[in-house]
Amino acid sequence: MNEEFVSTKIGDIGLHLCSTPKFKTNLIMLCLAQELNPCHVTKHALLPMVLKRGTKKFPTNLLLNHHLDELYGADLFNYVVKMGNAQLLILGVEICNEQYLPETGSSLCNAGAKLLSELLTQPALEEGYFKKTYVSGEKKILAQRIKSLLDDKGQYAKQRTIEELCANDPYALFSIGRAADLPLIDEVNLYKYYHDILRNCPLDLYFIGNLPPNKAAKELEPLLQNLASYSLRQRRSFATTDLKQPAEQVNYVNESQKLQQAKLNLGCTTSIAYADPNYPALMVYNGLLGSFPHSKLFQNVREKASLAYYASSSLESHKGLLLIHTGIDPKQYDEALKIIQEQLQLLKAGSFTKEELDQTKQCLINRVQEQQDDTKDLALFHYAQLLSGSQRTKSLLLQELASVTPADITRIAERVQINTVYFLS
Amino acid sequence: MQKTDYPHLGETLYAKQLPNGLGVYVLPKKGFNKTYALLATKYGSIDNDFGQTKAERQQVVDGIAHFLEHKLFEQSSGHDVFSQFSNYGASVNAYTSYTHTAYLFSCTSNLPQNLLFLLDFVQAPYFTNENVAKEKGIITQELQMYADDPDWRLRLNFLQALFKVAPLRIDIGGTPESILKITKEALYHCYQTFYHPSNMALCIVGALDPHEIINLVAANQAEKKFAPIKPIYRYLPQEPDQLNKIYHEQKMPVGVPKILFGFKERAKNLKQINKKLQFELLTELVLEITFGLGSTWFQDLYQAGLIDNSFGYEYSLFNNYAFSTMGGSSPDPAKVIKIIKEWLPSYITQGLKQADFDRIKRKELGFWLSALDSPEFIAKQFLNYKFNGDDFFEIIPLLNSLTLAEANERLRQHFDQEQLCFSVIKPLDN
Repeated sequence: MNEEFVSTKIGDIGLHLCSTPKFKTNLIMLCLAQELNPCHVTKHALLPMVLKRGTKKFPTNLLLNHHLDELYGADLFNYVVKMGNAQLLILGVEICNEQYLPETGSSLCNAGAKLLSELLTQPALEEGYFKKTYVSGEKKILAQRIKSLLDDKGQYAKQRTIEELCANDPYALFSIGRAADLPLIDEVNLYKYYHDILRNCPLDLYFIGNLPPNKAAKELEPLLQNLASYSLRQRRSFATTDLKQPAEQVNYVNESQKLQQAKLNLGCTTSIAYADPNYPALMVYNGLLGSFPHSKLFQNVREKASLAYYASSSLESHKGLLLIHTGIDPKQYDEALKIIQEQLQLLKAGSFTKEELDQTKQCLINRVQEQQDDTKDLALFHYAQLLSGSQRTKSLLLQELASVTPADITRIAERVQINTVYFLS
Repeated sequence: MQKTDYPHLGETLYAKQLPNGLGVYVLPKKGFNKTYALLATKYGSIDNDFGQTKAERQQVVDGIAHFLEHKLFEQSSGHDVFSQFSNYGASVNAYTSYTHTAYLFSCTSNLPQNLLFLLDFVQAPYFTNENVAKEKGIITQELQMYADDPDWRLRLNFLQALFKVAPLRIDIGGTPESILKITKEALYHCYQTFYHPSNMALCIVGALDPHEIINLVAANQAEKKFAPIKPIYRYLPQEPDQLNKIYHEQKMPVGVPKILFGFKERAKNLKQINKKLQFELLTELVLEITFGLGSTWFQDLYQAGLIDNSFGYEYSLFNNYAFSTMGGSSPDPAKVIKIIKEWLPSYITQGLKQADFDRIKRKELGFWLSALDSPEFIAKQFLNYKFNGDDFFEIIPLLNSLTLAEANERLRQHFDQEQLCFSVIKPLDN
């Protein structure tokens, strides 16, 4: 089944509706795009946390949570994520469709939209600004989250590789900000920041659920009008795509911590971003190299050489980066690095079978199809296209993936260049 | 074939018990692209002492169920299982828990091919001295990766403090030392005991035609020969009520300390269980009222900066053992412990309030309903409950039937000061 979005503009806010009977929940999700920048990266991450502390109507977290419980456990979610040059703020609510529940009295979808509207435009205030205790409390929590990065060694190694790879580039920033900025943030400057982004940053609202588009639009109308009333002038726009340029020479970084297992990561530039016509071929290249268990890295580093528990690769799509991640025995550094480099060479030389290529395409097509079964994935896929200016719809992407040739792969391989070799042991 | 309609949920379940004993459960999801299939055996890491007659009782080495899971991916043809699923665009995986081992895939096309291949590779073991030796390196790396994971250490330490003899105190993967003792003969022995179709079940959820799928599985199974069905005797040691230790602390390179606490269920509480699913739902309801996001306990500690959103709770119920776990990151675990100990007696005396009970019941109803949007979740939970003799689709009516009086009784039974145990991970000293 193909889920299609109907897009319109309310004021200067994008509204994207997808009407489908297949889910038991409705999703209402607001996406706000801000430029990724050290000046406000931490404020941007802190803001949704403070908003979630309470609204004018439900001024404490306890009351807000009780309200969510009453709405059959509506899931109020918020997070920030990097997408190329953008730091996105996602705030949404996933709420049961009342047709499967005993008498609910009123529309749950409407209640969800109302709550989101209050959360965004009527936060709990004190003397005209955010509540001091909420800001200080959430600052502590955010500081802990930033510190906790240390606890997940795989995640830590990935972030460190990106930092090295993107030195002097905003993309080096951790998506949830920097601990050092926190002492400078208070209820006043955060509130001013909040007003600024509500007025000036691009906003898009998604709805996915079992309501006809005109009915969904009606349920969401108060929320949209409320948001649109904040627009003073044309909202800022910016290009999310920002390619990282290839380096002259490879940067080797060694770091040590008390660990049982070492992490060997490689960061590469590809010079191909999401909207690029070559992007589907890059997806297939990455699939051949390390996205799947049949991929070269898994097969050769783990299965044949028995060197690692995991060995994979991934794309930072809007930045034109490819990352290789492995967890190995610290003594096997040379051997593992050699095998990884061999795999990159093999792809350059076109040394892969038709079977490997077909498998990879099948698996990628499967992955794209599966995204259609998850409301948040569906919305984010559409939003990524929107932000990057890509015209590639799902069906076009599927066609393009299927038509990637071996020559495309070797051509892509030429563009993949190792920039950073990061070793944590 | 048995067909059961759940009109309120808009779902229909198709089930069939095949002559070789395999239970097949199929749930079509209209409009979905994806199908998720899970083939599981009722065999996990705690089944380390067993026999098929009373005379041949045998103890096996720690980590063998998990090792066996890895080794089933070897085939006599030399072909790689992952690669064969990739041919049909499916992604395959497997996992081992305390009580079962599962093999699964998800796909959006070629379902019949993928399904037959799942059955064929799990039902055709091929262990050699060489392939067993090779796996030891990979699993050692896996165990070492877990050893660096503070959440995993926190939990294992907790279980080792909680239990004196229950096999739950042994890591599912065993230890780097224990897995060295695994041989191909031992693997075949476990396989023959636990991978008989009569000890297994298959659940398929997603874009499918139930008749076609059940017929396909039935025909595949009819072609294969299996040993006659034999009983399996499992020996689980009797765990005393008393805790092994009330507190365990470890230092690791973490950014923020972590705490896990929970209650060990007394044997007498487990003995009086009438319906496991009801007992579990009731306990979870009590835990949600007490420690959920909408509880005053959570909010007071959150506001004091003592816990964050990583805080969560869980109830784990086995045949002879059960326990709850609550925890997450905390800058000051000692203070959290002090607060719990001071707060608990008055909380138990007060009991739960009707308004909180009703509110959380609604929340839980919404949770189980939303879960029906996830084929993975349905398949995993369905088989989990099936192996316990329960029915996943009974959850919503059972939840509706729970009363405040039952919840208060459960609260007083489970929140037992003497059964309370703590595990803490602290950062290294600098």
